Amino acid sequence: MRLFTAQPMISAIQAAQCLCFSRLWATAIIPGYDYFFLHVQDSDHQIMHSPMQDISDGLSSWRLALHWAWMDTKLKYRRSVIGPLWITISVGATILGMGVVFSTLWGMTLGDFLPYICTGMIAWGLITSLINEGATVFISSENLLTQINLPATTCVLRMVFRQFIVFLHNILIFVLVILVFGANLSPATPLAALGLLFYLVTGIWFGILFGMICARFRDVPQVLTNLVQLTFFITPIFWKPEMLGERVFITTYNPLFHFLEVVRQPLLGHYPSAANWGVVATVTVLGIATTWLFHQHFFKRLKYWL
Amino acid sequence: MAHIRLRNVNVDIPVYDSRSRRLISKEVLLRRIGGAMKVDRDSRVVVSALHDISLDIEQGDRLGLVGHNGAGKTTLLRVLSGIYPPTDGTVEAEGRVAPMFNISLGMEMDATGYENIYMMGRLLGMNEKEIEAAAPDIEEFTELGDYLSLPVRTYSSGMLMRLAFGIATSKPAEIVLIDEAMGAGDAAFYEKTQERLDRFLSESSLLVLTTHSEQLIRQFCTRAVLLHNGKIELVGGLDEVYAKYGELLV
Repeated sequence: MRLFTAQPMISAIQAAQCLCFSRLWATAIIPGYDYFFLHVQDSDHQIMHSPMQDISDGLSSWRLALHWAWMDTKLKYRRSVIGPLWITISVGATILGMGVVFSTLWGMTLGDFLPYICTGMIAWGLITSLINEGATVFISSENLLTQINLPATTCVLRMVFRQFIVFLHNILIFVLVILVFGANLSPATPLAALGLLFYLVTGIWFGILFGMICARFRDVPQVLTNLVQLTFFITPIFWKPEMLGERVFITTYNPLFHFLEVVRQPLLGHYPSAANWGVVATVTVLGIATTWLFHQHFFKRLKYWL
Repeated sequence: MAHIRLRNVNVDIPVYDSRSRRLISKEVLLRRIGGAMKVDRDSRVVVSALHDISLDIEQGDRLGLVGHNGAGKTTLLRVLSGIYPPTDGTVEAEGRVAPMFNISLGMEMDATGYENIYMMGRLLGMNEKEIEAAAPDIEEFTELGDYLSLPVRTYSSGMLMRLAFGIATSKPAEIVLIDEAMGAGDAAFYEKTQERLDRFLSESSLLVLTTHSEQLIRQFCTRAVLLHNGKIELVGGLDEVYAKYGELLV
């Protein structure tokens, strides 16, 4: 059964699967692959979502997910006058307040400090919402997942897109800061898009992986929320890494710091360090691999965990 | 040719509750109201919701699922729709499935009628063109007129159900699975929507219906399956199945 209209991408993925995997060795090395073949005789006329098909169907339904995410955002603010701009205003006020206080505490000028904390807070906001909402993505979609035949991956995409829509609203604050304090844009600035691409990919695998783990173990979302709160203080968002002096290792071993830098530094006109890119790329690749194995193994049980 | 074939399907639903071990006494295990409870090899408590189900549903079948509360009717429907992957056994199916378990699912109260038609149409697997084509038909059936431009929270519950039903039946499906009146309330609702439902069902090639109402089963089905404690007790004609069902109740 095809739940969503045929997209060229599905057939491309399936063609690639046919080319790359002979059934025998695929069954031997990829857990769940046997299951995939058992249930997918004819991709247009099959009923069961195999783990792999859930991902390919889900990813190819990105337009539905995007529309859904936009509806979510719009509906949340439907009856308010300025609508989603409230997102911008509330984050903007926080940034301004913290900017004034901490620039004074650190003895920096507002013009130096505000762009720094502004980019830091905006990127951090995206990171934490991807973590927190990723943890509960399947729990909060329980009704949809157990009553209609919707790819679970679509729910993850919807959640990720929703966070990016919020992020786009927050970018307005940065534009405002640039207008007031002058821009420090450089050839490095477009690299922020590459950083955001890593956020997008990581948001998706994190949502699938931790969405499943949290559906099974209901204490994990609480643990994650608390960890995120703690890391807000040990990640250089409203302070600078060099202020740590010889204890700079606190940031070096914090993967979230590196994720922060690949978006913040380009926006400030600097190149992120090779270490930043290295850690982000490594985490992304390892994350995708872990998610893949976990998903192949446990996807079948997801519905029973809800 | 649309069909669904189940072979030796088992569904064990694990009970995840930190205290469930202690709560399940031998007494409960023996009482057997719903599916049998058991303890699996990881010493988790599981409810055996379906046990060794083999069933062929072929083109043209109009099948009713009969059984008391907890017999496994809803679980079986979810397996047939592909929502629940079975713990053991295989499900093989061909044909576009329309699971009508809760037709107002996905309805956004703050969105307008038209926005809901679009969103829910997409969830049902329709593309933009199909939705556009189906919209006039939905408008006509719901008789909502200008209301469709208002947020659905201004609708009465009857209007809501008509809209949800209109959308759910706007694209023909080969396999139609209906659970307990679709959350649509009572037999009176069926009467009002009879014509549209009949048309929708006549375009489908396979129907599985579960309801406690014998009248509805007799109206729509030609064959029935009697489920008892997660097992198939009998597959046969309606009279035969209801006779046996009567025996079980005594």
